[in-house]
Amino acid sequence: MTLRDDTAPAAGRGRERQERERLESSNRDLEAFASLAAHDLQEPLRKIRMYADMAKVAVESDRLEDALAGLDRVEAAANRMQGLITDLLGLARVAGQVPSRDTVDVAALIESIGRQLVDRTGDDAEIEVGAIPLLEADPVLMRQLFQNLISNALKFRRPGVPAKVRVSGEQVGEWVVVSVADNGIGFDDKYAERIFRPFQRLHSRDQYEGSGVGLAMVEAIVERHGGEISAHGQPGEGATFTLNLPAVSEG
Amino acid sequence: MQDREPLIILMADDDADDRAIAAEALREARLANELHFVEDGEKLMDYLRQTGDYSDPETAPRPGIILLDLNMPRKDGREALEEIKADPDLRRIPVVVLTTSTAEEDVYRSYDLGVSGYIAKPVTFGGLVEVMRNLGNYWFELVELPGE
Repeated sequence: MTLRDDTAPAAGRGRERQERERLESSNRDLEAFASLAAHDLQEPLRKIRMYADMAKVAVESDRLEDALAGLDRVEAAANRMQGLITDLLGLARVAGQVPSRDTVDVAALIESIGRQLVDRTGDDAEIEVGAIPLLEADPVLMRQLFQNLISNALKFRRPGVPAKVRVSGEQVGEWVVVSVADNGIGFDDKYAERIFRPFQRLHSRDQYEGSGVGLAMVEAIVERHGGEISAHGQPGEGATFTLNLPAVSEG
Repeated sequence: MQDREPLIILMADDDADDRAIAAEALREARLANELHFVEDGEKLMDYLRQTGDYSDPETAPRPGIILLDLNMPRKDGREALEEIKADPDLRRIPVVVLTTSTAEEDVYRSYDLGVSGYIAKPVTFGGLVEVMRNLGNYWFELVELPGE
């Protein structure tokens, strides 16, 4: 991941080479992405066929309860597939979009997202927001970004411990460095890069739901704004995501 | 053919449905092998090295064969396979890949790393029962395996 520097004077040939390298790397990403997407879409499809097959056999041998159980699994797999496709489309939209630039008040944004998320889960989660300098970023993408980060923080809570999320920010030059810290299950730092790859998860689907696309989308949004994101975890204590986004230019 | 102790099978697969279906298919194929499960590559290595949650050989006996999924969280099957085949104590255990991936690269790479077989997960239950039956005929009856 690199910070794009559009102001650097580059010789024509240098720029051409850079552009070629960028295209080549984006082609490689696309290939890896397509193969991962195919694999993850095949999982529910395979289950649909497998359980439909089992249900058919069960009907033929008059085991109606087994047949119904099989059909429930078919339904669950179809729902999973639907969710995955929705997330994939979301990710594709982000990647192919030039972000708009508007003034975004992250604190207000998180206030509204947090209320929604906490209402939806109806629990005792606590979201604390510090003073965060204004951003110049795409408001729709910012909502998506913080929604993904905060719902992640709430999802990976420690069992029996009320979830606490702290969002803070400070201006560093032309950037606002935002940090989103939680007191959840955390993760081993050796996975700190892996968690941003699409479809990567650190837990099986039975433990935590989700398509594995959320953080990939967060990273894509940050990169579309020219920024960077990193993660730091401590197993059993929590995780912190640090990202930089463009600050509102002065004057 | 002399009587043997039924081989212990260790299946590494992160998908709970697939683990349950495999156990069912093994029963349906009338195989009496003990079947143990791990959910990812990290746990597979813990199991094989009898560390962490798997330090008791009673509940985590050394497997005679490993059925390995390639795509798993934390440490995937490819990474685990590389470690198994680099470990002089573990490399003799036959590893059969059982995965949804039919990517040529995965097939090549798995054989390069020394797998004993590569099977694409069947899409029907009947197909999986057939896989278990064939694995049974070949690995549990036909071939000679190194003793421990």
